[in-house]
Amino acid sequence: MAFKITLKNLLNILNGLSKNYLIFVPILDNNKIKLKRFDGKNFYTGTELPINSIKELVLPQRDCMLKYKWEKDSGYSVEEIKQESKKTIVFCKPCDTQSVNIIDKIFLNNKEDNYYKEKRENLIIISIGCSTLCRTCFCTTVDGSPFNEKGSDIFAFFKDDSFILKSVTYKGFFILKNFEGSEIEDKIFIEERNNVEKNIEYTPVNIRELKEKANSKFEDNIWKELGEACIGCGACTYLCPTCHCFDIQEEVKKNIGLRVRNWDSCQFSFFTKEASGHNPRVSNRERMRQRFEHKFSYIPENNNEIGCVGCGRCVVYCPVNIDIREVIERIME
Amino acid sequence: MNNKIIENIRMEVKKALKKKKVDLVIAYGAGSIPYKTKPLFITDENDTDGIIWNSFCNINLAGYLVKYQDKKVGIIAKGCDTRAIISLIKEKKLKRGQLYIIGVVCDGMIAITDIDKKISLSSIDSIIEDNNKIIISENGIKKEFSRADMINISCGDCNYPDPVLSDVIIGEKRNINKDRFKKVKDFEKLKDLEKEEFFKKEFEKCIRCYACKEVCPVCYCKECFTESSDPKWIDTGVETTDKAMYLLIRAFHMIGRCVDCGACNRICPKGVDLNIIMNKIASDLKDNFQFEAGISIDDKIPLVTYKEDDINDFIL
Repeated sequence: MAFKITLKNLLNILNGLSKNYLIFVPILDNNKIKLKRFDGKNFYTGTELPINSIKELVLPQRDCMLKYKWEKDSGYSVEEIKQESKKTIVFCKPCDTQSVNIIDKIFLNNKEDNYYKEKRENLIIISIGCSTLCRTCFCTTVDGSPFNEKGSDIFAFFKDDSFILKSVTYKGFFILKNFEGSEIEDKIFIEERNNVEKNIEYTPVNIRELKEKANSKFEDNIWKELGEACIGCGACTYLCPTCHCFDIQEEVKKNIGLRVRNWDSCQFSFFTKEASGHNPRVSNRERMRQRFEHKFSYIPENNNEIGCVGCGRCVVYCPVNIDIREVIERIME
Repeated sequence: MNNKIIENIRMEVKKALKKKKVDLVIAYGAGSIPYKTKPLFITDENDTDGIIWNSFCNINLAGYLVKYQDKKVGIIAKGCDTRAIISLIKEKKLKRGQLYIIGVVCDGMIAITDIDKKISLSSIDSIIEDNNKIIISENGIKKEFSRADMINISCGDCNYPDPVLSDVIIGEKRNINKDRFKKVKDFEKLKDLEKEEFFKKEFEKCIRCYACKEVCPVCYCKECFTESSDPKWIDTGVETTDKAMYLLIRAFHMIGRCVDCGACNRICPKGVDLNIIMNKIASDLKDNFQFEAGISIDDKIPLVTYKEDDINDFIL
């Protein structure tokens, strides 16, 4: 079942849904496209990706895990923080949806991470297909596509002044009931997909080959070259929708404490510093190697998918222009 | 105009490597996208074809010099970069004799946040610079912008586009004499509440990626205050106060050392206004000590120099 609705109607529907759902949409804010809470009227419908990804909704940059305190008469007590996540609807591009698919396996397979699980279960993803690729995005290289429905609950696209959507999962179907519009045949999705794809050059890299080559190049000179330029900031990891390293900290003031989980970056020089003072990843060379091996060798090995979704955020924002697309090319040589 | 400069830079680099003045030259190379450049580390005199010069040479290459303390290094340096080199020499991280500074007169740089104010980044095919015009091709359609409109705020107020310390200077000196602290003085006149609102909004943008700290040439501490877990000077979280603490403490550590090169401001992915903070400390330094960092290799850094006639107005 698919629907076609006008943009104006879309905004009305979202306003209605706002009563029971948190809604996140891309908006133009201070010259930058950002993913923010729907404010009732703004919704960016263009090609550019928001600088922040939907990773924030399942793995916040700061997440409080527990509270504890000590009182003279009652001693220690621990209070679990109620995860008060409301049902959340997010509109994003297929690359961001795919990134959550990747992180899902890391936080939910084997042992489930409760903090992640709660947020993930409450998240409803509406993937909006891209009509063109940006100059910096490359989802097609890493096994993705601008019209990839995988992982979304509802799949949609903008066409002229309309918004066309269909449900992909039961979760999506349940939400779709709120979107009243003219019913439209499912085949429009196939037509539009063909339309978009015929203008794109698909050059997907073979995942097995990528994994094997990345593995075999562990001692390659490329890491030294990249390490020379890399300044060791965390811009790539923090903007990356797939990167998920975290650091658990205790924030204690007098007799009250908070255990928090914050983002961390393998690019920081102290990320692997051990209590002895030894640091196994002692220079940018080792840290660069770690990031790319993680994405192109370890995640493919563990989960049979490439750990990069081709969003291109790191390509745009790396201060020294380390281009992950060039790294893939070098690995595949 | 740029082509002549590029030719001259390449020639100087070739010469320096050929004559074995240096083991390595750090220069700017073309980026993989039109509005970016990357650092090049050249050891072979025949490898100079990749060197370029344009309005996107945003990082301060002097930041790499500290890694090569035991080598003879050449470097392409804008006016501000040469001032950072002076700071590093004063702090004994580098010796003048080990450096071959190819200074280039700078017309100002354009950061990503300057571009996306005017045009969407996602569809930029190419960027051509033609004297005072920046011509950006977006999906095949050319759009013209005035250079003055696009130059980063950290460059707009710059008083030192001409290299202050160099072995050779490429380009014609501009001899600017502006009031580089006008912006800060104007800002200081705002009401407290307005200033608070401004900073809240700016700090909220910060994601603590530390790009500002890592690109800074004088941030070279082996263990930064942000990394220390015992004592834990600041929390690693992203409450606005945590971010403010990080940004302001770093600013305080830069007093007398930061040359206001603006690299931090230009590479911040979220476009946080770091320029006003760094400009402010430079302004206060000028007001209180009549000192500007990185101007002269001989003058003494005020905060670490004892003066008999110090007014000591902080002593109550």
